[in-house]
Order: sequence, then structure tokens, then C-alpha cells
Amino acid sequence: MKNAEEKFFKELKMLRMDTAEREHVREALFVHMQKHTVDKDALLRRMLRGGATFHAKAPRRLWKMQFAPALASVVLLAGLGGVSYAAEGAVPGDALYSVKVHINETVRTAMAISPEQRVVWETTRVTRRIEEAEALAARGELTQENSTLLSNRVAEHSAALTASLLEAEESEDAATAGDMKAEAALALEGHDDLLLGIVASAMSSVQGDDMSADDVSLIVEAIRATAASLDDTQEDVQESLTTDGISEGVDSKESTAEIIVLAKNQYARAEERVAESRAYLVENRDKIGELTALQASRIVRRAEESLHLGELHLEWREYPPATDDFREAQRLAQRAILLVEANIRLAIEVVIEPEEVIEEVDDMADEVIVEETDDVADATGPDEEPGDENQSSEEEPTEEPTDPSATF
Amino acid sequence: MMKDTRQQGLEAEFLEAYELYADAIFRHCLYRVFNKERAKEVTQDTFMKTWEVVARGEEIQNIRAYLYRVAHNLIVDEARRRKLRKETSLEEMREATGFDPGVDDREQMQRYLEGSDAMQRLLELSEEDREILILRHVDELEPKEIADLLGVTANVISVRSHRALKRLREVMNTKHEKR
Repeated sequence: MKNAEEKFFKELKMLRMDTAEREHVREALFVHMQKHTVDKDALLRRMLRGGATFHAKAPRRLWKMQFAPALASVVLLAGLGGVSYAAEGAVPGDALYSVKVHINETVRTAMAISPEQRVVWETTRVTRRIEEAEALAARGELTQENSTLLSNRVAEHSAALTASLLEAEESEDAATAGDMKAEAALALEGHDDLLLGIVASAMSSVQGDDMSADDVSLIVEAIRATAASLDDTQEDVQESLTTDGISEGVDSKESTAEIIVLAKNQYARAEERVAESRAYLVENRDKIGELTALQASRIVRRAEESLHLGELHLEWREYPPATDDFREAQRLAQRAILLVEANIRLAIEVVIEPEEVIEEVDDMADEVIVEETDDVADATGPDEEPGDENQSSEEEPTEEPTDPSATF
Repeated sequence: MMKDTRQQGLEAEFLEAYELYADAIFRHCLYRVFNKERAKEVTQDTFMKTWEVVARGEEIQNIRAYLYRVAHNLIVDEARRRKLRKETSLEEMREATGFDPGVDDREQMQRYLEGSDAMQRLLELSEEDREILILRHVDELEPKEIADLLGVTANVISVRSHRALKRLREVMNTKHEKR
């Protein structure tokens, strides 16, 4: 019966104005808006008072409930001043670690008001714990005690992230909630391999005496469990769209439109992220080691290949495979960024792509693409300006579904 | 210069709000007035009136809820006017509004949505049940938002919503039994 109800409401939600009607009303509204221009004095007064004129998405709780804890925490943080700032780099075992986790993060938790903000913050929180593990591992200090502490915290934050995502699903449209999950999954990308690489590197030196592979595996498993839950959900979104489109004749048109929108969104993001990864690699070439540069450049190339494959699928109107390719391109680009960033942050070179290194290490000098500065422009495609991520999606010869992602 | 930019920004944001909520407001109106053209007009009026408020520099905390409120008020006014119209002569009515009482709007609606099983079920429900189900499950407003809109408490909305769902199930069961 529940399915029947869901189907009932879904059918009612399908009803909308057709494109011509929407445009007609929009034009009439626009004409009306030109006749009723904004009262600039009133607007200026409001701006001076710091108020917005309207917000698209409403706060779900009362102002006092939302801001009171945040305000109290900000006051507390202001009092702590430099201590709080210094604590940001602390890891378990440091004197200021408690300030970082119990004060700074409590403030930020209170400041994250909307479901979207909470998703972003809980994702950041998970990665902060992972980065602490990476920092400790690089110093050879990822002991059993630290591993247990951090893996427990990763699991706790992961649960909070899941809860925030569920909350976001209720308050946001499916596409926005799906994007949040995808971003959260990307933030975790490659950290498991990076941590294992750091530990392997540290254990091969005298620094790693206090660490054991079993202890580290606790955190690696926690990272992978979090990433897997996010990936599963992503697949579910795609699958549900595909299934709806094929099996339920009623809403196949709408589902097809959603699949196209999904593929296009992923394309724009993949283009942006791949270009970003290449630019990051070039920008930091002088700060990273040869091994890192080799691996990162190879990963970026694989990302570009995936992007290109996705473009072909898009051209052939094979949207689900195109979406998969664009996601893979983003995943690889993120992995390259992480590798470079970790080399700078931790001052340690690690192998996270063994097959690349073993096969190609002899060609290292020839293969580091970041020395070819012209490649930066190539990363966005031969016919486009760098950073012009909208152009290619506009070229796509398909109907234009509406973009429900406006924010204020 | 800064004010002009802000003004343009407001217009762009408002048009984005239109893109975002036009379909939902249209649906909301359609399931209340049962006339596609009227629903379109009410949708248009809703956005126009809301823009006037924005242009006056008044603050709207929740544009979505505000749009629903304006649409709701316009529909209530529309119903009130119709009630008055019934008291006027048919000729006056035709001359004044072009409204032809010989055509039942619900029949029009059924024709418009011919084959829509959900619409058939919806028409079998009372206006109150229909309103609450649409607001809660189609428009996906929170009970508190609906409560603010209808001027009752959130608890009342929860109870009404529960009862309306129960009646919807009965309607659906009846349909199955008939088959």
C-alpha cells in the first residue's frame, strides 16, 4: 500500500506547466518586474542593517534555537584567540589537540545550521581525523592507541555524516542531495591508499617502529566503510533513475530528463576538477618530489582519458555510462590532487599507484607532464578557454531540463 | 552603482525563484481551482505580488512559504468571488468574467488529465483532505509550514494529514475491490 501511495503522489508531482506556458508566465512576470522597480532607498537601508531581502530556502528552526549555541561558541572562541588557531594543526598526543576537537570543532558544529552545511562540516571532520592519522603515520607515531582513537572518531563522524545526508535528502531535491553525497565521497577519495603508502614508507625506515599494519588497518577500514556507503548511495541514485526511466512508462520522459541532467552536471564537474588537478600539479611542481610528480601526472592523464570517454558517450547519448566516466574522471583528478597536497603537507613521498611506478619508473624524466606548461590549456579541451565549464554542456544537443539548484 | 548591481542581482534571484517554484505553485493552484488557465493566472499573480513585496524592500524570510501563502490567499479570494458570482445573474457573470457556469471545472480538469489515475482518486477526496495531502506530500511542506499557512497548530496538521492519508487508502482500496 505504501508503494501505491508513493506512486499516487509521484503521479501528482508530475504535473507542470509546459515550456511555452512557463515562458509566457515568466515573460509577463519580467515585464511586471520592470514596471515595479526596486525601492533603492529601502533596499539600501536593509543592506546597511545587514538583512537580506529574501531567502529561497527557509531556516527550519527558530532563530534563537539556531544561533544561540553558535553565538555562545563564537564568543568563547573569540576569548581563546590565538590558542584556538594554533590548535588547528594539533594531532592526538599534542597538548592543544583537546582544544582543536572539543572547542574549535564544537563551535563549527554549532555554526553548521542547514543540512547542507552539516554535510560539508561532517565530511571535513572525517577528513580532519584521517589527515591526523596521516600526519602521525608520517612521523612514525600512529600507535595502537592513536589508531583506535582515530578509527573510532572516523566512525562517529561518518555516522553523523550519514545522518546529515539523510536530513539533506528530506530537505533538498534529489539532485542536490546526490551532489552532496558525491562531494563527500570525493573528499575521501584516495586517503586509504595514501595512509597505507605513508605507513609503508615510514615502516621501511627506523621511524615506523611503533606502528603495526594491524593497527593501521582499523583506520583504513573505517575510511573504506565510509566511502563505500557514499558510493553505494550514488549508484542507487543512478540505478533508480535508470530503472524508473525504463520500466515505468508513466514517468519515463521525466526520468530520461533527470538522467541527462545528471550526466551533464557530472560532465561540468569532471571538466572543472580535471583542469583543477592539472593546474594544481603545475603550480606545485617545484614543491613535490619526482615520484609524486610521476604518479600524479599519470593519474591526471587517466582522468583526462575518462573525461574524453565520457564525452564520447555523451555524444552517443549513452548517458549512464557517460555519468560513470565523468565520476571516474573526478575521482582520479581528486586522487592526483591529494597525492600532491600530501607530499607538500607531510614532506613525504609515497607510492599509491604501484603499478604506474613499477612499470614506468624508468621513463620518469620524460613522463612528468607538468613540465610541459602548454598542457594547462589543453586540459579543458582544444576548443575551449580554461575554466569555461559551461560551454560544452550548452553544446549538448538535448532538451534543456530545468536546473533546480538555485540558491540564495 | 552598487545599488544597481544589487537590484539586478535581486531580479536575477527572483527569476531563479520562479524557475525553482513555478511548477510547485502551479500544481498547488491547479489542485485547488481545478482549472488549468486559472491556475496559470493565479501562479502568475502569486509571483507578481511577491515581487512587489520584494521590490518594496520588505524582507521575506522564506520565499517558498511566502509564495504558498500568497497563492493560498489568492485562491481563497477566488473562491469567495465565485461564491458571490453565484448570486449574480448568468448574464452578468458572462459579461463580467467570461465565466461559463455550464462547464464544471472538475469535468474540465478530468478531461485535461484524462487517464490520470491519481487525479481520479484525488477528486474522490474532500477538499480539506485534498489540500492537506497536496501540501504535505506533493508540495512537501513541513507540518509547521502548513500550520503557518492555514493558521492552525502543527499538531492539528499532523492529525489531519494522518486522517487524510487513511481516507486516501480507503479510496485506493475501494478502487482495488471494484477491479
